[in-house]
Amino acid sequence: MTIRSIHEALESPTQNFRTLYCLRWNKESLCRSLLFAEAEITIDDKRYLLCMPLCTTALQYVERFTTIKKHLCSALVPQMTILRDEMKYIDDLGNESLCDILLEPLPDAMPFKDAVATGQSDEEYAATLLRSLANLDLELQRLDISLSNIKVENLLIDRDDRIFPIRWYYATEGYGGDRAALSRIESLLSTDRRSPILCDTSAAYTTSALSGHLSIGKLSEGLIAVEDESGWGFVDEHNNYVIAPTYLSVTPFNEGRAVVQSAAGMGLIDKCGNYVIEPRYQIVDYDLRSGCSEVLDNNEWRRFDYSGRELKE
Amino acid sequence: MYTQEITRKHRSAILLLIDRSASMQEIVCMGKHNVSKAEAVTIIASAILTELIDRCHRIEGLRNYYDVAVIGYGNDTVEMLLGEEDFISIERLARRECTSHRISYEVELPNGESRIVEHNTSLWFEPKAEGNTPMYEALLKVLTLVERWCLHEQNRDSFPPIVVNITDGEMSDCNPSELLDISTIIRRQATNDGNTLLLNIHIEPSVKTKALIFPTKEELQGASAATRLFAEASSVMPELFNQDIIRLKGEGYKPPFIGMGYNANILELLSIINIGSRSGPLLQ
Repeated sequence: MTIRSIHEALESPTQNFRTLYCLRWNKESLCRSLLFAEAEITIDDKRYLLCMPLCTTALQYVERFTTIKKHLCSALVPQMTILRDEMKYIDDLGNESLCDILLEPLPDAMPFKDAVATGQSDEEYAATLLRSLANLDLELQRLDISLSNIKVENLLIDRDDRIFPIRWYYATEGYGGDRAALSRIESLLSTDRRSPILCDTSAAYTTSALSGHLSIGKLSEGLIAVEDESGWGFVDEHNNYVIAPTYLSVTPFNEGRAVVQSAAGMGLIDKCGNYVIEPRYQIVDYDLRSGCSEVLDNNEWRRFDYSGRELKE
Repeated sequence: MYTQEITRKHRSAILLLIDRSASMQEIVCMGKHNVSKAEAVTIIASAILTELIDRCHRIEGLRNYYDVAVIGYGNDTVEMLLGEEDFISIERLARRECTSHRISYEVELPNGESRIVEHNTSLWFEPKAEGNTPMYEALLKVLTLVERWCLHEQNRDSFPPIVVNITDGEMSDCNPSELLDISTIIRRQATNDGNTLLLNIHIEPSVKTKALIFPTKEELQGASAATRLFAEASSVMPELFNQDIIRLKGEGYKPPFIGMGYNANILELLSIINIGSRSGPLLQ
């Protein structure tokens, strides 16, 4: 499954979705994270985040959260649903296949980052947002849960200034895991704008702790994807930067290539950080089997080989 | 140990294990021309096989001094690239047709003009590069082959098999400890003359750091986890090879040497395979 699969399915929902055939989607919202390709959709005027797993472990996170969620009773917690065999796509061998889809309802709320931007120039509103963050923290404490994924872009805020986290799939039992992330957001709103407190987590499959990053991916081909204040990049096992953390998102390295997303668009890099495909396209879909990439450029699909040379029909 | 000369009665076995995953599409410089890593490795491996055949030619005909096998792994598939499910004798290989591969490159003449030069090389199998890197599955296949070869009555006193694994990346079907386990089991397969020799060569010509070729333990200090993993998976080279390794590395290095290369370029790959396949066991 690739990000192109979801793009094609969303373009013709009646043919490609089993139950969500009447969806409408926001074309600007298609993006990818480490685990999912995501798009914001609307069904009967209700907004959802439609997430297609990009790796086999993605839904395992969701299933683990579903187990945890059974014990939670709060307006904060979304009723996430896994729709089995929901979406048709064409697999690597050219066969029609079905994949599960995660559907997360979105509250009637606006992006928290817009509120933060307002709060940074309005002290009174900043104080309101800090109180809302404190209430969120209290609720997490009451539920005895850590989201492990709190950042400005994963929060929404409604008209009553209630904050709603989205993308709950990293949630774990036990309160306290979000303190550093909340402090960091608070610091964006406080008057002295102190340096953020960074988390200290161990990456999977590594022997040493990687300090000073907001998020840490898994070790792949000797490099570990890390997220810092400035964005995503890659470090080696000794926590030395190999590729500067400047990207909005990255995938782990696979056969020497990683897809990156910058503000200008998606691209493909090699293990030295050189661009194989410049980061200026709507979608770059790297196919491990062929080593080629399908690239959406001004709504036209183009194909590039492993070295980044365009392949003409 | 590791003293048995190669005779028709005491053959030697050489097994080349070749990564054919997508990353082998990367373009590298091979001599005067640019080819994919997959093509470069195929050309080098084919040249080694051709030379093994040449070394077996005698006035009366071809002598069966070697059993050879080439295993390719990529895209969730492990393939025997010489077409048979076991080692193939050099005599049998020589009877087969190989394909001719034309290499062309541009040379600059003394008058400043450029000219395209072409020459042919023999390929015993086709280059391919797609999908992931099922190295563990390939090593399982190696284990089956070398175990059977070592247990064969005819090979009991022979020089043990030499396995050369050529890759440019990380295995996709096992974790490091599983890789070490299977490598250890392969290295334990033995004849009366010694254990199987497993050489691992990581090719990465684009990396600027100096390659580690047949490193000593001192050279491995401070190396990356991936390099150390390769070292632990590889054999310590027997004394028989030391002279040629020192000639390659230069004076000042003291054995024991680890049978590996890391971040090697194509020329270094050739040097390692040369030492692994040619300078060890002696033809009678």
